[in-house]
Amino acid sequence: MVKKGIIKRCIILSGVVLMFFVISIGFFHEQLAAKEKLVIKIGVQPVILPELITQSKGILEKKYKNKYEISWIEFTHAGPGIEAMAAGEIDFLDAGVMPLIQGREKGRDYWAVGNSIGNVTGMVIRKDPGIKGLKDLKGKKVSYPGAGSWQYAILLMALEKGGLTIKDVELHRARFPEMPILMKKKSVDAFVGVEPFLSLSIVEGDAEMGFRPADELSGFFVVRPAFAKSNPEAVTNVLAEFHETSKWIKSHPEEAAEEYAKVFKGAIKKEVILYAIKNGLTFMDDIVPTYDHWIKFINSTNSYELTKIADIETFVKDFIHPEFAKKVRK
Amino acid sequence: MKNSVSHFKNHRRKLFFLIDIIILLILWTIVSFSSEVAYNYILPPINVVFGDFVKLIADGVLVQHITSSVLRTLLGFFLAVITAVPVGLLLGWSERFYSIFEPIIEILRPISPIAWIPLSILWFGIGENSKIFIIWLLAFFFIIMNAIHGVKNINPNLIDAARTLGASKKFLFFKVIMPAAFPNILIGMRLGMGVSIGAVVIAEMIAAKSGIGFMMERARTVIDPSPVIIGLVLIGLLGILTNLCFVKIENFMMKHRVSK
Amino acid sequence: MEEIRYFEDISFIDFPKKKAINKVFFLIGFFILLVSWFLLSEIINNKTFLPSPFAVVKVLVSYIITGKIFPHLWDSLLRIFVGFSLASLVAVGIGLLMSLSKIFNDICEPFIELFRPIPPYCYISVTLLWFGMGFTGKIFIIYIATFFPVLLNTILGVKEIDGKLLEAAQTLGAKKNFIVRKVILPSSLPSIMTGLRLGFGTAWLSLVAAEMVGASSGLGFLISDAREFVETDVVIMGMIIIGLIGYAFSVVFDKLSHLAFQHRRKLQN
Repeated sequence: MVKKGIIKRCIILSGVVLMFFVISIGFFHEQLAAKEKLVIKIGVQPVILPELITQSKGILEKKYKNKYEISWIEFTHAGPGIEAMAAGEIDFLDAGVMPLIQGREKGRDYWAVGNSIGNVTGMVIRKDPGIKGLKDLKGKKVSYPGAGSWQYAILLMALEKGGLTIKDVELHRARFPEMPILMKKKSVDAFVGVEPFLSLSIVEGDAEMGFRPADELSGFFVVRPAFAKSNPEAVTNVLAEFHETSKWIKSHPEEAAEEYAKVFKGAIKKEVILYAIKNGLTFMDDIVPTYDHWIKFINSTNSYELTKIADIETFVKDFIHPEFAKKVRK
Repeated sequence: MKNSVSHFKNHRRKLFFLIDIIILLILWTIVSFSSEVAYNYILPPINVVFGDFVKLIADGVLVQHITSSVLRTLLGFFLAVITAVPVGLLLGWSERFYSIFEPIIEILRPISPIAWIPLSILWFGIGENSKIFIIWLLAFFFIIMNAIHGVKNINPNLIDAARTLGASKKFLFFKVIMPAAFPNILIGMRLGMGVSIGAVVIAEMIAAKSGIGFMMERARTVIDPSPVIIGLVLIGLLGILTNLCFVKIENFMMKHRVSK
Repeated sequence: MEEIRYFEDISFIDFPKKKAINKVFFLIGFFILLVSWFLLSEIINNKTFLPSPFAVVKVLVSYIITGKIFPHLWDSLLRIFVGFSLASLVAVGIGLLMSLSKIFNDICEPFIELFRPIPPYCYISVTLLWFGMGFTGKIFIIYIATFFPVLLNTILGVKEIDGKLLEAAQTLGAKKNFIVRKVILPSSLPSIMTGLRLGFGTAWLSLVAAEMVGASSGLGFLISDAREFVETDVVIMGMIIIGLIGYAFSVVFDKLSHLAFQHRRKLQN
């Protein structure tokens, strides 16, 4: 009596086991298959960075069809990307300067090999008859991403310019995409964030630019040291293509905005991206990272107590590797 | 007489289901049009979301994400079943083993699997394995506790009867204990599955390369509200679907037993 | 909706427990954990990666002495208290209504089945945009986290009531109101307590998650703020506090559940 039930269940069970075996093999196939071409895993974020266009136009794939197999891995922000690189899951990443420094402080190992974009950060102030300048921010609500960020330092600089201190404003923490929405709702009077969210508020007519740090380099290409050591040529080649794309974006902003609009698909329309490209972001002429610039930068973050790096020179020399970018022909 | 009453009740339930969906859609529209912010950034109207839904399917993107999430859940679940059932049956049967493992179980059990996610990502990376681990963890505890409960609740007379009739230990285990504990195990599986879908989405939101949670989180980053809403609806629907599947399986097994 | 027995309520079943040995095991395990933490932190010797237990205790003491911890503690506890109480009351109320009226049950069930699988964590970004960074938003998240477990366990509790008990009350000519108050509520109390315990656990975690993202105070904020500065000792301190509060509440609910269980036993006799 009970036997029949057991047999039936065994059959079903073995069928299920077989099915899962097949599915899981198919699932992990890509991890098992052997590769002949060099696999380059590039981490990207949905932010206005040059490599998003390199990706959407398939430039690397076309040019190095027989040499490289490119794998693009998306991250929502720099943090997981840095962790993935530390775990060896990606070889290239473009990330903001503060997450990169903080990652190295935590002991993550990667090399900065090229300059990406500049002027990503700024502070916008709500368009309001009562708020005419930075000094009018006294007692007002300001949104910021968190105390350990470069944006926080920008906020301190901006307040200083307006003769205020951090105690004069009401701070609210938010994530970058939330800031322009809070601005539109009039829940905040100013926010210090990044492009394209600054341009979104400006184009929507909710705010105007309040403060932008002078000469700011924001984004950097980093590479996994093990990968760079065994494939230096690949690093140079990839950097070269990113650099070409940067130059193309500068010369063809309209088309670049079109390409980006395809990627974003959200509330960030083409005109916002175009505004950001024309008025905000800087696409680097010189891709080679310099020690001096970094030493100056870390001195300033140390002064704002965002970082606690004692031996700046050693830190920078271990971190910055300009040799690959130097080989990129202008 | 009885049939027509349950028939009526069935129809009534389906009718209310439809009415509730309509109410939900009406509320959706009201909230959507309540402000410019809601319309553009939080909850776009139904036609906009539906349009984006169709686009995502056409691109093949949505299907990929759903498949990722579902496969991870199923795999983790499967691993949990083959590990938790034997262990649970053993712990339920043997007082000795139970008392050895009880402190470990009691300490680990109250910790929500969600809290394990950062650790899992640290250990397994952002790939499939970290999600499968979380699902395994979640389902393991659900199934094992119900398996133990199932064994402990077996009518002792049944076991005595089998013993008196000269049953061997093996027979006892496979033909008496396992079938008796089976319904409880199924309930544990159903409950575990119900929570698993939410758990895998959360893990994907934190760190993943694909999946429903990843899709929702990425959409948030570019202020694209539609995929977020689509994701929420998908989670709800998958929950209902898996629950129905398990209820069908349970009913099938019940009929099976009753006929014996 | 079928049985919604969560695994936690199995603790009510009398497994023959050797309680003394369990406590000893627990203490031994805890001690081993502490010692291995200390040894590991000495080996790694990187205080931003793993500070020693002493460093964490030191920072905890300093936070208490300077009073820094209290505003955060207060804000988190206030939020959970308000949100949890509100949601529990509504959930128990609706749960009772759903168990007593078949029509009300059929109306509510589709909504519940659709929204139940969605974890509160997924609502955080939508909530922040809709409600802003304030108190209301946090309450909403806590509400969602608490509502479903309490509701479902209330319904289960009523379902479980011994039919004979209800029959007996009705034969004795009791009014419906009396039955609800003196029979149904006490009998379903253990199950409701389980629901409250589960709901609190989820709500507490969800609140911390929400505070990590959009708040200017609270334990979650404290942890994420410290993380920005790579102050790992503060992060670990925060995590321990959060864990302890969660544990304390589950112990409280446990005790209350056992009381309720005994109350039900008395009622049945």
